[in-house]
Amino acid sequence: MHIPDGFLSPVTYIPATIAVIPLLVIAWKKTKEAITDESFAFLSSLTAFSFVIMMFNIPIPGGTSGHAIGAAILAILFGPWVGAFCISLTLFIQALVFGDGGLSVFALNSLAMGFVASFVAFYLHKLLDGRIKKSVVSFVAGWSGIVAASAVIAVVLGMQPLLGIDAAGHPIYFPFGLNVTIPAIVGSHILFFGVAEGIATMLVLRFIEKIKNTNSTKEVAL
Amino acid sequence: MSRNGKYLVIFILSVVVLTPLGLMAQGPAWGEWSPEEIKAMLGYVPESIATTKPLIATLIPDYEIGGLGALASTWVSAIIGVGLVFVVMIGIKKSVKRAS
Repeated sequence: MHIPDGFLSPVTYIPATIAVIPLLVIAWKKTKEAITDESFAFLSSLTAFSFVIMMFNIPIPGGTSGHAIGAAILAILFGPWVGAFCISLTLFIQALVFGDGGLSVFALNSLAMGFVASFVAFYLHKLLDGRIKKSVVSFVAGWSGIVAASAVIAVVLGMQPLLGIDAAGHPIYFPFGLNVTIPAIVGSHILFFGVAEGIATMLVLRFIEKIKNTNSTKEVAL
Repeated sequence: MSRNGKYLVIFILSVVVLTPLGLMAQGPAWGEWSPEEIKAMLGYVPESIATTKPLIATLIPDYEIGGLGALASTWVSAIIGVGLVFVVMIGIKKSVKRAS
């Protein structure tokens, strides 16, 4: 889902960059509030986990691959703004050091995988929590967050053929339209990577709960 | 180190150790193609994709480190990524302490 440099028209990434800056400022402030001596180990470990889990490429039919992002875990434990900030930090390191996702289009990757995934997961979790089994809530929150993020990426990429055609009639930016991007990107997240994100969310939240409980002599405020 | 900290370190280290599993996927993510892959698909490379250069040259493109095998590259990349996340997080924590 990491959009590379050159795939998007400036008409797409310039407004997105302008939009994401104030959002990141809010997310940064919320993250500073959330970092305490107690939460620090969890917050940084789970952000590191999101970096690592994005390296777990899962092969799917059709010769492509993808991965979970770990956004729902952070969003559920620390709130959607903190989730968005931590995932954006991971995405920024990936773009800057590893060329995974373009720096020029960082705003779109941050909006989709950072903000949209975190907010959708957080509010779905809030809506469902207590109504159905905890592990099911975690799974649904993770699955929905990443599927929502994939929908944003699919629409942004699928719009590009409308935004620039050269003299030969070829698209200048990403060459496939919505009729291709929606089934390919959203479809693969519904079927595969959403399931991976759901399972990761379920397992890691259960693990965090367990270690907090075994350490009950010390109050751990998240 | 607190017990939580110990569990978390073990947790992150075990995930890092397992990262080479991600190498089993041969294909790129859908849409994240190189200009060469797009050329093979369409017969041409869209202008912007052909001409746009990254804003800055990346240190470890595609998590591959020259001179190291795929396995070692993946481990080193994962450790660098995890390390950078912690460096930034420690920085944020310190800036909060200083401000208060």
